[in-house]
Amino acid sequence: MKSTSFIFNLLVLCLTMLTDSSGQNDVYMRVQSENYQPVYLYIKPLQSKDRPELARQLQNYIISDLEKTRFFKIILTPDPDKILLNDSASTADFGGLQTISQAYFEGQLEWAQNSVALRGTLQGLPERYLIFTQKYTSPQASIRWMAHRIADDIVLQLTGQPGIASTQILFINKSKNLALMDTDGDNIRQITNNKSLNMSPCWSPAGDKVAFISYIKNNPELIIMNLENKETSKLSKQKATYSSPIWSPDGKKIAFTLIKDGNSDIYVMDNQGNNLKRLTDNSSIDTSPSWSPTGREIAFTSDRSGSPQIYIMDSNGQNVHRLTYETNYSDSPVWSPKGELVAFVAREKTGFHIYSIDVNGENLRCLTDGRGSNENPSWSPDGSKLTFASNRNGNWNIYIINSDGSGLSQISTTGANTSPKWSPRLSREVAKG
Amino acid sequence: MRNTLIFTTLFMVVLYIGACSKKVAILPEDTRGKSTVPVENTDAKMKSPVIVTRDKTAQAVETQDYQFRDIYFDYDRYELKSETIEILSEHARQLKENQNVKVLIEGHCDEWGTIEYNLALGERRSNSVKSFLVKYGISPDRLSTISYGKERPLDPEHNASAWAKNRRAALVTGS
Repeated sequence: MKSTSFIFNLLVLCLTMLTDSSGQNDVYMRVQSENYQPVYLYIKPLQSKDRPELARQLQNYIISDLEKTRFFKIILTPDPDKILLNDSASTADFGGLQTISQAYFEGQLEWAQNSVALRGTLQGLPERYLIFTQKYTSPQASIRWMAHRIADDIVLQLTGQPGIASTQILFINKSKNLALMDTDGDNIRQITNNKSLNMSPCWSPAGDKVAFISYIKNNPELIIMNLENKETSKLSKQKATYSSPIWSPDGKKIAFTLIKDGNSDIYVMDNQGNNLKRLTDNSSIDTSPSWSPTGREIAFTSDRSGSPQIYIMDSNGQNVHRLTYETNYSDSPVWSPKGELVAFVAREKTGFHIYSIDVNGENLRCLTDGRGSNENPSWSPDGSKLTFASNRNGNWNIYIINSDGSGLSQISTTGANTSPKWSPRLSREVAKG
Repeated sequence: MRNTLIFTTLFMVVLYIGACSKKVAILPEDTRGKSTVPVENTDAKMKSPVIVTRDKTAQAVETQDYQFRDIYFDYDRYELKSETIEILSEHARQLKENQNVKVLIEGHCDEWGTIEYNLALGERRSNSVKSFLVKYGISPDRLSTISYGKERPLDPEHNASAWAKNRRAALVTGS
């Protein structure tokens, strides 16, 4: 009796560990429990006589991207005519949008010397009517990026929402340089290479440039890098400390923190570094601006009440009001892409935790559990997830969590990784590895 | 040949004693080096190995060498603490006596705060020190400030003692 219960406990423990380590299962269970109706997506295994390994790799990338969206139940089937249609799946519901519930994807591969082409066809079941067909071409070295594009197109066609597989995460690595990685933590590329200190990276809305702070000759300067040719330009023109730059949603302006004579205030300038305007004029610390998606408002941190809290002002500096009251020491506000929420960090005993709050100050939610410190949240472009840095497992690494706090997964493992920034949707691959 | 060897050994021993006594005498609790760069000594005589070896005493190396001590702050504060005023006053006197010395004041923070907030807090700490020195009569032209926030902790450990050491302003001589 005792040994039976021991074995049972052991089993439970193993199962817990399994679900814990494979975030995807965990996510999928949650999706089911919340009465989502996943799309049953039948995929024909990609085949290639010449390069079976590359075909399998491409297929795995596509499936991995699709599974991460939580929208699909993937079933690999070699023979579409023998598909057993699932009766329980009627129509899937994505926020009131009725969409197709069962689909079939097949890809035909053609290999040239250094490139690969895939003709992808997506059909609705059971009628097998054509949803879309498209030819993708790519250098063989970039099949991962091709998989991301294919996955995102499937997501868009079946859910009505653009996917986020073809996005990147920008972060600061161990050597305090800027680096990029795919959202699964693979394909890491360092994009700056200086012995200085680099911090506060951010994306341009078009995803073609990044801005960051770099210590040059003992002064923190605001630098912009073009990701196409890695050329940099210096936008900081004053002898002062520049910090936390962020592009306006239309890409025309950059808001940032300027620290002069010990005082820290929020400024805005055009994307060439001209037409400087001061937005806050306060003897307290004002920092970390974040634009609303309309560009009409800016959330920021201020300690004007005695401890750091989140405030919102119009983008001309008017109508300042305080957003957070229930959390002490709140910082790093980031406005959600759809505009309804602000995510931020608040201090607790063990460190910072990631919170979200409605823009009217209601519905405060803690998204992370009680382990370690969790900092610098950044939204995925569809608002379904957040990335952040955490030392919950000892070293600072980059994590992703669903916006409801479920599905935590660690994506970087190299340590001393901080300040992740999720890219907008990218029309092409940036900074190829 | 043998004489040279003895001479060299003696020289190194004296230098070693000198180095130790200097640290112990001036900054017993702080042997870290980087943040405590001495003011350049104008007394060239003391750099002569011949004189040092003839004296054969550690005292011979006691000079006007001066090491700035770090200025510590409370958690999330940038006001100068009463116990640091005396230290800063001494630093100010040294700066008055060495008019050619310029100082970079680095502001640092512990890990309890976000990167961006700490950058602003570090700047405030360095500025508190600068304001004090300016009030004491040191020309602002000789003083510059920089904040490293929590990016360059002196003690990378995650405990109260490390945090206390990391909440500091460090005075570094330079151009």
